[in-house]
Amino acid sequence: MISESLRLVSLLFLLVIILIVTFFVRKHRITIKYSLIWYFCTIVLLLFVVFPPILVWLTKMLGIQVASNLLFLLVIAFLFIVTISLTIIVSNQKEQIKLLIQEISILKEKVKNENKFK
Amino acid sequence: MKKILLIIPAYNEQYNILDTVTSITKSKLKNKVDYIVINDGSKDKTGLICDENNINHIDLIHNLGIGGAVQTGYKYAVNNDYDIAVQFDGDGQHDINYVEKIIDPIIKGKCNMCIGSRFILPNKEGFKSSKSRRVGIKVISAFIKIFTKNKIYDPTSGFRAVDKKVMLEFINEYPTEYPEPISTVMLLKMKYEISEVPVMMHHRKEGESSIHTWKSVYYMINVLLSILITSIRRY
Repeated sequence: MISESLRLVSLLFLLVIILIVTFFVRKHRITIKYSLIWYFCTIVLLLFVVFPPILVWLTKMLGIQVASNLLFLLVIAFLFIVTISLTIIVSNQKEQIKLLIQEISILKEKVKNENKFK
Repeated sequence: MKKILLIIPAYNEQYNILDTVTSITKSKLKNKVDYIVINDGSKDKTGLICDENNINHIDLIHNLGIGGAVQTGYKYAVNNDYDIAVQFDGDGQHDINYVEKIIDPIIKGKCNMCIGSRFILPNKEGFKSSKSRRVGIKVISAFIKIFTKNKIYDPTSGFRAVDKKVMLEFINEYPTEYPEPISTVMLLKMKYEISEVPVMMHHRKEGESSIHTWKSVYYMINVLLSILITSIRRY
């Protein structure tokens, strides 16, 4: 079983995360696309906390001794998912920025040369 | 006649860049050779010197690192329809007189990339880097041999010529970090032919090489890991 106090703390914690993410989404500081992964992860965790039987069942299935351990494991797993997706996003952006710098620089050189011959 | 372009990446090379370009414009090669300097967002007067001396150059609006700078050169080469692109350092290490030797196998269609190598016979003279760096290069070379079955004696040499097919690959994908050994592995994975010709190199005239001694262990781990990762990538 999972203790009531851990349930309560987890619940508050998840709600705060959801509120923070929603706050930034509303202020257009986080795009909808990148907020989805946070909503997905927190809502899955929320399900386990609100309905402990699911958590207990999964704990037994996986042969884990205490339900709270599974909860921590899930949190760590979701953090991994979020950081890996961030790495993917950063890699993409690095490529995009590189492309922009290269193309603008080539264009600037072209414009400069054309002005020379005028 | 093939159109040939020298790509000269330059980062903070204010003391060397003019000499390098003059050595190119004054050289008497059989083939006509154009050049483009890629000023990689230098913080010194490299860009100014290029402007004042009418050196054909592109100023990157932000520093990209050697890989991004060289790739810009390849893009310029493809845009202007060059047949062969030669990477040529702006720091005075490379000798313009070896350019014909390097492009020769490509003109003859013997290979897609030709590396100017310090370590193949008959090459007893010239600057061959410090002892510790030679050992490092040997390790990298052995690593490439394991993962690609090809022996490249000087995989870190930045003096290399490529044909149009390779240029078109490079404008799509060119490694940002440690581009020389990694691009070599990339091309071998794509089944392109790479050959080496012996060249002599000079000491760097001014400034420091981008590989510092205390960073060399870090450098080696990174390069070897990158080779490993490149070799499991799908192309």
